[in-house]
Amino acid sequence: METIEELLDKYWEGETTVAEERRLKAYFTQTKDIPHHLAIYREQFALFVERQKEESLGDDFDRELEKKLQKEARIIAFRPRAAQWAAGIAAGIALFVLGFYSGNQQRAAATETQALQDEMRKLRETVVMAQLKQSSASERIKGVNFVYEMQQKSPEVIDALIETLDNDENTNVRLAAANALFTFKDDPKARTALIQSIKTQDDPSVKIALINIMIALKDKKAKPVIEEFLKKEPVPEDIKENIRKELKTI
Amino acid sequence: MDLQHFKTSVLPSKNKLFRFAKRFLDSPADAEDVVQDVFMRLWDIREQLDAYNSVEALAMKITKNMCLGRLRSKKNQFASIDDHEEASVAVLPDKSYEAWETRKVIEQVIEQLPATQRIVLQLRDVEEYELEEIAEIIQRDEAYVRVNLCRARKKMREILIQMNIRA
Repeated sequence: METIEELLDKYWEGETTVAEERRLKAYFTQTKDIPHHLAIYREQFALFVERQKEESLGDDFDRELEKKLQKEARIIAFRPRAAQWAAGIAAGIALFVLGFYSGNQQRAAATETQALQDEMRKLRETVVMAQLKQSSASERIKGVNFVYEMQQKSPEVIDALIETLDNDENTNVRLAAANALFTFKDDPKARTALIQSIKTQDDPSVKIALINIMIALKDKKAKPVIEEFLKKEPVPEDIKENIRKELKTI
Repeated sequence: MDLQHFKTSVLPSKNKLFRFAKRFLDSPADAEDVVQDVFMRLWDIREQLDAYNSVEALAMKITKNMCLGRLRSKKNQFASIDDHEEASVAVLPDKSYEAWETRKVIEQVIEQLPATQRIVLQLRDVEEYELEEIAEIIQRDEAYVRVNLCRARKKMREILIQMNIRA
């Protein structure tokens, strides 16, 4: 077996194996009388050993993380409470603004109400746009879900949703965007984007969600894209079989 | 992958990731934030994790990138010397002053190594990864890893010998 000196020489050249390095660590941390010429390296190896034992992420970390993960997992299934909360605030602002106006003027003319409504619509749009640019996935999902609160949908919002559907890095956000775009089903642009996206999505689960939307809409234009998906995509056969069955009903 | 599976197969890397992040970030709180973000990211892509050879290597890779991102965003902030001393004392309550001083110098040397050398040293000499695995984590080839490892180790040897001569 090699001496410690020989091992050290190999160590500095990067030629020791992990097992040999463990021998060095054991030697330097467990030997009582290390010769002087070697003792200078003791602290180095002792530091490595101690650092490997450092463990400071306790149960608190696990609990907090688990809560966050559960929230992320659930977010797609239910409308997040925060979206309702935000809608509440928006309604509050509207009341305040309305009260302000009607208090100042004897009677609010019909045109002014219209202007206010427009104002509110723009405000909501701004909220959606800003929310879609958030760095956290759950915040972006909230932004997508704001869309459901809107009565009138502007082309800008549709564009923003399409952008999200095609480019967001997070699968859940893309799925939420797909579902939100479903509510624009009568808009030709939204519909085309949904069909095109079947081709460009990289995640099979998003593809399948989009296909289901198309099947629900019974859109004939989606047929070739779905057939191509069936040919190329490596998804389980039973899923494909289902899609094939549904496809016949279009 | 459900939460239970995630907890048993991915989460156990947490302390490794934490130690790794701490070597970059000085502040344990920041390191903990990063580790949490790493797990959130992994959870986001949980359906794709099966495609990776080693989820742990992937986690390390994400940790490294996130830490470097953070460092870039606050380049000029260094840990105060007080923090540093406190940490060393805490680790070494029963050692001689000389050992404690040596330890402090070693820690400083490691901290001042170029980022790649510091990463490689942590992954090999502390976490005991094979060079091949480190190459995967930092996305370079094995030769590159070895060169950086040697430089880091030789730098430490040089400093320790110097200290010894002076003493």
